[in-house]
Amino acid sequence: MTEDADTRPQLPEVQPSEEEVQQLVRGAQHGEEAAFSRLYEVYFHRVYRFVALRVDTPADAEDITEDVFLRMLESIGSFRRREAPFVAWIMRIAHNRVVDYWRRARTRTSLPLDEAPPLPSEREDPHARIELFSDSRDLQAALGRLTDLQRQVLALRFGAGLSVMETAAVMKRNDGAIKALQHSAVAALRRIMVPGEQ
Amino acid sequence: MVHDPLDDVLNDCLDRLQRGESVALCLARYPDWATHLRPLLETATSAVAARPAPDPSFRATSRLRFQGAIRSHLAVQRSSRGETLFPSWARAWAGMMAALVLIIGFGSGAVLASSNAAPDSPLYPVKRATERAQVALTPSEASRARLHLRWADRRGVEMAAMAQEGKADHVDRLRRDLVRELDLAHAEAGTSPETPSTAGAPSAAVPEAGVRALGAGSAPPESSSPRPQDSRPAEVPTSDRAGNEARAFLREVHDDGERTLARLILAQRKAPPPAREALGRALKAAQARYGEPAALESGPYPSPPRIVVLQGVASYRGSTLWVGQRRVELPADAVIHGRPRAGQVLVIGGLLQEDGSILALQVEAEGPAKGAPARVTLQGPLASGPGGYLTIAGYRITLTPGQTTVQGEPTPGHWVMVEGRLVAPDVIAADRVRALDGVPVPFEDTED
Repeated sequence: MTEDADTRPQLPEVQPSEEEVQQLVRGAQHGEEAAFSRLYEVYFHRVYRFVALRVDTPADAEDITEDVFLRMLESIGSFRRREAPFVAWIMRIAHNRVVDYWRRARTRTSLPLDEAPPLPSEREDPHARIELFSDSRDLQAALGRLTDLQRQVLALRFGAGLSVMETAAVMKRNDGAIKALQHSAVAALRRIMVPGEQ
Repeated sequence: MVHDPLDDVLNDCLDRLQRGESVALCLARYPDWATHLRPLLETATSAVAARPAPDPSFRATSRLRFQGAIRSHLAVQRSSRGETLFPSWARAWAGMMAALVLIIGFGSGAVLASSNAAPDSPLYPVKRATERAQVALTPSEASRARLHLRWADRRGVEMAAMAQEGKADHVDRLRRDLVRELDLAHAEAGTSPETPSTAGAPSAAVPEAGVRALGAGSAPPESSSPRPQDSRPAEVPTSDRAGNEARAFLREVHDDGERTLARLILAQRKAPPPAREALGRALKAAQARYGEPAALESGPYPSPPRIVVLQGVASYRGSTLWVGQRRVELPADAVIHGRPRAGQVLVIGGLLQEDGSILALQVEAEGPAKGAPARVTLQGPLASGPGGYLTIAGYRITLTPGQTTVQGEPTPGHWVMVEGRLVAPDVIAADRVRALDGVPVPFEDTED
């Protein structure tokens, strides 16, 4: 086993070209093990981050991420390039798994109080911090106060690193609607983190 | 809906930030919008910086599980498609019928679901039927021999799992299946198990006699179907190529055998008595077929001793697992219980490799570490290293009179357990050394 990308700087991420992705997808559709493995390496972080920004706990994000790749394995034969880019296709799978998760979660009890992170607006003097979010739990708590669509657009844009066009394909909206939604989501996040600001 | 031009400006800046441009430069590009833009861009960059990253241990184990899933998926796909070229109409007919029966009788979903079925699962017969179909669909003897080896390996994994659940009757049944797969593998390859005296050293020459031609085009096959193993002297290879292929195959048998035997030994740690005895029978039977000399009873271990059980605290460098200053390789078929995160106490059972790393066969996460991370517990065959030092799995063991407790009579070549502190990457200052009775034991058994 070799050291991998975890130890290298993460941003900006180098993603394979669309042509390379198409080649990998064709390979996977023809049953090439190496192509499946490479697709996993390429999309693992993006899927995980997207899911983690939309669910409650890292353990849930891990379970759903694994499930997304197993579903990719089973259904890659049904992927058609002309319908959407591959990244939009796999993120659509991830989105559907997240929707299932929340459907099941309705019957669950809520997070115990001592495990819930304090909401940023409840803290003293948010202006005193240079970073608005001290860690990922902080960010997730703030995202939890957005509407589902706002949370989804930020998870796709900031978590999965999708372009507006790809985000539009996943959310089945036009580019203009995604830009407007993104604007309202970032502004809402700002209001949550810095409540007194004009 | 009225279009807000700030939607486009913000989006352009977010794209630029993603490409590595700074907030200041973005604001300079849009001076008229700077007042509105600044708080939004600060919020966005802060959110990107705080986005969650996967735990390295999750990434490593998840990758393994996915690779295993790919292999199962592709194997089932290939066997269901029946797209291989058949050398004879009879094989094609048998194979297609087998695949059809599987698909019609159970459905492809059941075939896929059965790929990980345990021997006590209702789907297990589907798994075995799928295996038989794969063999029937495979045209060359060499490939069929390797398939039988793979199925033997699977039986070993299943046997270990059943033994830990105390299901001795399943262990006995699987032992017979494992032996049958190995006999079929040797029959297809035209080889016979190595004698114990040659198997311990992988570089040792494989006797030329005892090898029949292996591989497509190497020699005319006697029959297109597997023949039972017999005791007749096997044919002398017809060419160097055939001999080399046969030697390569026997090396594969040896390597597979080492993993399977290690798995069975490790399974003995937690198996209740009847299953433990059944495992003992399986070990004897498997040793004879794999050609590995006796390594398990109380007698001396083969040289070099490779099977080791290590308990220590997990850490990660990148996504590579380290325990007790040893790099641990996790192959796709490693059995992992729990989530081996950094800071957890792990019990690793596996094979010591030439570079000092451990090829894990099973990993058990036992919970967060409470003591000092440098503390390790190790079980393995004791060896006498250069200069008369005692070693286990390459760790040098130092004994301090008055501080080290010695229980039993630990002698080189026998299985022992050592508890102590890592005082250097390869040196354990032992607090306790205990001679064990032939096989590894659960670590909790040592708390007496």
